[in-house]
Amino acid sequence: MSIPFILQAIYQETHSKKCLLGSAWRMESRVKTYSEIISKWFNSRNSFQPVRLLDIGGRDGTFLEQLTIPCSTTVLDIDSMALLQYRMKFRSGIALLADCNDNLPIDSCSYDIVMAGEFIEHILSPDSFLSEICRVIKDGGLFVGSTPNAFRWDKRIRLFFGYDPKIFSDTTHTQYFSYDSLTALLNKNFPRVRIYIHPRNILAKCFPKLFADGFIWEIQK
Amino acid sequence: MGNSKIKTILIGTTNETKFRMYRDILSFTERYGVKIEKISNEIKRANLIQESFDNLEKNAIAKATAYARYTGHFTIADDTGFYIPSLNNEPGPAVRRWGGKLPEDISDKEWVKYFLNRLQEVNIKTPFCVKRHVVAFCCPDGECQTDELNLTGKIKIPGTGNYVDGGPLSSYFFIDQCHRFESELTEKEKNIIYGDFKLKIADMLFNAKFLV
Repeated sequence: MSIPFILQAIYQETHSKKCLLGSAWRMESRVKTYSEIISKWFNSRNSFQPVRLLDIGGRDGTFLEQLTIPCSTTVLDIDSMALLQYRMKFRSGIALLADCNDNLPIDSCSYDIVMAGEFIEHILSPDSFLSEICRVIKDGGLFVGSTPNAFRWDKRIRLFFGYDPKIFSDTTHTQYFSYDSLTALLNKNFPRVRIYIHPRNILAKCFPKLFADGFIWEIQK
Repeated sequence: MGNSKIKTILIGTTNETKFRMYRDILSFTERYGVKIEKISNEIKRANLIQESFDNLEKNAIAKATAYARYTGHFTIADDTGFYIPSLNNEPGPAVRRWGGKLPEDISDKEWVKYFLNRLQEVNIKTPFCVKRHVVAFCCPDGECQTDELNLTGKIKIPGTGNYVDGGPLSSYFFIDQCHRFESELTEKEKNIIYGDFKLKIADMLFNAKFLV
C-alpha cells in the first residue's frame, strides 16, 4: 500500500512547524480521562492474556508515554520522523507507517485497545475509518478516542465574523465535529458509546456543546 | 542475530554521495554512540565480491555479507537498478556499466551520450521508468535482511542538467509521487522517500538490542 507523498510531506511539515513532537494538545486533561477509561476496562477484564494496544495517529508516543499502560504498544502514523522518535522511546514497540484514509495494514481482531486521540477530524471518510477500527479490535476490546469541539463558543464567534475554521483551528482538519454530530457518527458504527468532555470544569459540564474543549469517547466492542 | 551493543555501522560503499545519504538516514544512532563509516580503499581493493548483472538483491546481500564478515561490523550495502520497459528493461542493474555493455570507467558525458542514443532509437519521448533500490543489512555472523524501495516515474529530456558525480540518470528521472526530478529532491523529500526504510533499520537495531 503506497502512502501519498503529499500527505506525508504535509504532516511532517505540520508536526515540525508546530513543534507537535514531544507535546500533545490539551494533554493533561485528556490523559486523566483516558487513564480512567483504560483502568476501568482493565479492572473489568477476566483474562490474564497480555494486552496489545494500537495508538492511531500517535506520532512520537508522547501521549502514550503519559498513560503508563502495562501492554505492548503499536503506533500507527503517517509521519516516519515521528515514528522513529516513538521507536527510540518504546524500544519494544512496533511502528507502522500508514495512511488511515486507506484500509489499515493490520490483521482483523488483533488489538485489545485501540486509541485514536485527536485523529478522526483528520480523516476523509470517518465512516470507513470506524469500520476499520471495528475490524481490528478484538471482541470485548476497548476503543477510546477524542476530537476537539469544533463549535466551542469562541470558534462560533470567529465563524460569525467570517474567519475560516481552516485558519483558526488546524489546516490539516478535514472534519468539524460538534457534540451531536460526533455522537451520531459513533452511534451509527458502534452499539455502546459513552462520551466524556474535557476539561471537567463547571461551565463545560453545564454547557458541553459550548464550553467543552473536546470530547472523549469510550466504546467497548 | 546477536544482542550486544554495536559501536560501528559500516556502509558498504566508497561513493561519498551514497555514504552521506546513509549517514543522514542513520543519524538517529548517534545518540547511542554509534559511528557510521564507509568502507576503506583497502577493503575495496581486497575485491571481496563479484557483482552480477541480473540480480539486485543478490548483489546487495553479497556486498553486505562480505564486508560484515571482513570487518566484524554491522554492515549496510545496497544495489540500484533502473528499468525502462521500452528499452527492454535496460539499463537494469549495474546502471553505470549498462548491464555490462559499457566499461566501468566511462565518463558521465559518454554515458549520457549512450543513454540518449538508446532513447532516440526507440523514439518514445517520455518513457516509463522504475528505479529499484535493494538494501541489505548484515550482522558480522552473516545473518542478513533486505528491504526494497521502488520509485516509479518517467524519463524526461532534456532533464535538469544538474546531478551529483556518477549519477547522471538522476537528472532525467522524473519521480511521479514527488513531481520532481530525482536530482532536485530536497533533504525533506528524501526523508519522506526513505522514511519507511529508516524505520525498518531502527526496528532491526532495536529488536536485536544493538542500540542500548
